[in-house]
Amino acid sequence: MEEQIVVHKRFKTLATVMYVLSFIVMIIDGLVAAGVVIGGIVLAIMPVDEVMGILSNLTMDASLETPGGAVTITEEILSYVNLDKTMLMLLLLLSLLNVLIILFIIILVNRWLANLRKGNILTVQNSKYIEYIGYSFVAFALMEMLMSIAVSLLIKSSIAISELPADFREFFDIENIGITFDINLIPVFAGILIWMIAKSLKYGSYLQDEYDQTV
Amino acid sequence: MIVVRLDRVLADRKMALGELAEIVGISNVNLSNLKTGKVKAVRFSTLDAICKALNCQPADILEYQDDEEMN
Repeated sequence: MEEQIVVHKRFKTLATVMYVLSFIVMIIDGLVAAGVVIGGIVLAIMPVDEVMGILSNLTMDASLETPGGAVTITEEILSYVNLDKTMLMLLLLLSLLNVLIILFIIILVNRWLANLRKGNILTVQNSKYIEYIGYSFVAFALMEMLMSIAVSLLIKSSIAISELPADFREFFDIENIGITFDINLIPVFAGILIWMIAKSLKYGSYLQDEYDQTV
Repeated sequence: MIVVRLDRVLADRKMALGELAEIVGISNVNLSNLKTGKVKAVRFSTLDAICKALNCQPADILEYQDDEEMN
């Protein structure tokens, strides 16, 4: 009888390797989330003038790069920027939620891989994990859209657009920055497909249960 | 519902559960689950092997009882 792939030694080794990798990624993402939280707390306490002062006193050259070219951020350009703290905090909060959604996906993948390592393939628990991954993908797409809106609002509220040099305004087309409800459909479709796979696995777990209870 | 009378036949044949499990080729746990009625289905191949080992008929091992009568 042909050996089942899921009990094959190589499959278990691969599952173990992926489990360890997902664990490392989980820790890194956790650190990123912690960084965002710390950044948020610091920004909440620090006055806006001090933040602008730090940006102005940066000894390294900062530049904005786009497919069309690059612009060096000079003190003159920074003088037109007055950060809206509320919008910045909102953007940080959305970034934190984004990171947490990614962390949630990684945790679910980690738990699923842990079950695969033990040889528990078609279980209700695994199908639930994959179902939640599907939902998280859709949530991620929505969060991306919200962040894009928040960035547009931050730029509009923080930059004195009418006072910017004309070539800068033209180069970045800043005047035409608007609020658009563009949602990335790729993670949405991926989430729906993953949800369908989860439902198939749930049926698979039912069949597995029937098989296990047959002598 | 189907009631499994395997314990009765085993007692008549003076055979232990473990011994039957070895002859039939299934685990002690599975045979114990069958004996206590915790399984959902029995393969014909398993039933065939049990009847061969115990020299009996399927009707000796499996009995139908109406759920209402049992209640």
